[in-house]
Amino acid sequence: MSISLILPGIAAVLVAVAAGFMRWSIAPRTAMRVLTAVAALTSTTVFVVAATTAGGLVGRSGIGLAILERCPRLSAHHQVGTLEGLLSVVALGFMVFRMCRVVRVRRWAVSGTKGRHLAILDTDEPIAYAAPGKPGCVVVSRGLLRELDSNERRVLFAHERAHLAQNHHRYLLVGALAHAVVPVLGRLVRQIQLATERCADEVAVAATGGDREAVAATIGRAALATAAFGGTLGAFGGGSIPVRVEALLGEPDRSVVTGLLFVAVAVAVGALAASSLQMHHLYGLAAHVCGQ
Amino acid sequence: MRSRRPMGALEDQVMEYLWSVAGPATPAEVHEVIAPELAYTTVMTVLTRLYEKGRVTRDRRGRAYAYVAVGSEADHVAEEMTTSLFDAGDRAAALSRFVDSLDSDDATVLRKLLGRSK
Repeated sequence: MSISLILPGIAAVLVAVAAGFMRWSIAPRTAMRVLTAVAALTSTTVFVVAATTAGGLVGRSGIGLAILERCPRLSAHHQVGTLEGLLSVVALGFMVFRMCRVVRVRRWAVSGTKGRHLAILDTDEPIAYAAPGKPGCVVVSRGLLRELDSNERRVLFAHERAHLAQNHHRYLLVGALAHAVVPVLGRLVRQIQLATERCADEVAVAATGGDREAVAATIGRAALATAAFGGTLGAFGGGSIPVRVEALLGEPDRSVVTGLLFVAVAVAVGALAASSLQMHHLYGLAAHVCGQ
Repeated sequence: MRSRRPMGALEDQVMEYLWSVAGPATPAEVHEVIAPELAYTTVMTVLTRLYEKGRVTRDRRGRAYAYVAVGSEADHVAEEMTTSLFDAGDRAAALSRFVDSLDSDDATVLRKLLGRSK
């Protein structure tokens, strides 16, 4: 295992984790896309490093040596010790298990909404979410519908439909998978979630005549109703609602410094990932596989 | 994608929505929620017909009406929209909820922010 393989990967993870702590006052769509890319690059790097190290260990076994005789280009350029090989196998198993769980949970979350545009839950608990699919379904509880007035309900549906129209579930899925591979990316993934919520808030503003205060008030009402109900909706990501309300009511806080820092983070993670993945080796492998 | 809905099914869906909401709903809201792919006038026609049949009442709200369902859900047949998905809260947590839960600090901050804007 070579230091040149691991160090850039570790650096990428550190930058990605640090990015999760920043307050990014960036246009939400940009933030959503770039932060998802950062999470994807970081987690792909970690996964590939683990996979190639584990592969290096396999390459020392009988079967592995037989394969390497036929395809010498597959050989690792660095010797893989037994301990690091075994650790990588364990780590890889852990990552794959968590990724499968992410996919399973998501499949379960959208089950029961197939073929519907709208599903009304028979409960007083305030609940509303968008279940992606063909077609996507807005799931909302009677409790929340009755808590809001006519205009507020229009805001709610515009927001949920925006999630479906802009395919936010894809970014959220990438984020969830990245978190499965690199558990310390939790804060970064919550930033991605926040960015998707802000995107949907902006669409709701446009769809309901540009009244930002009305959208902020709707979010606030729904949040306070949820808190008052005291439902067990899980407590991840708490703290994003005041940010969303402030983003709607306040002046857009776009500083040049933050923008440059954002670009720097993206470039840094990209470069570190490429270095760690050793793109020239991957290219060689691809060329070999394609029969050159 | 335009879905062709028989008028009867559309009426049932509008009634089911109005029962769920249990309060006044404007035609714009009903249109956007139930059938955004149909013309606004189609939804207006359905609401007017339901009013003439006595299944909804209406109230003038500025330039438009707000409609309220008459009677209770026990009368209705179509159960197309209402569902009781188990663990709906957990499903919401796995996807993307409209609002997250608040801790008490957030609630205070939120009330202040909203109070300032009104």
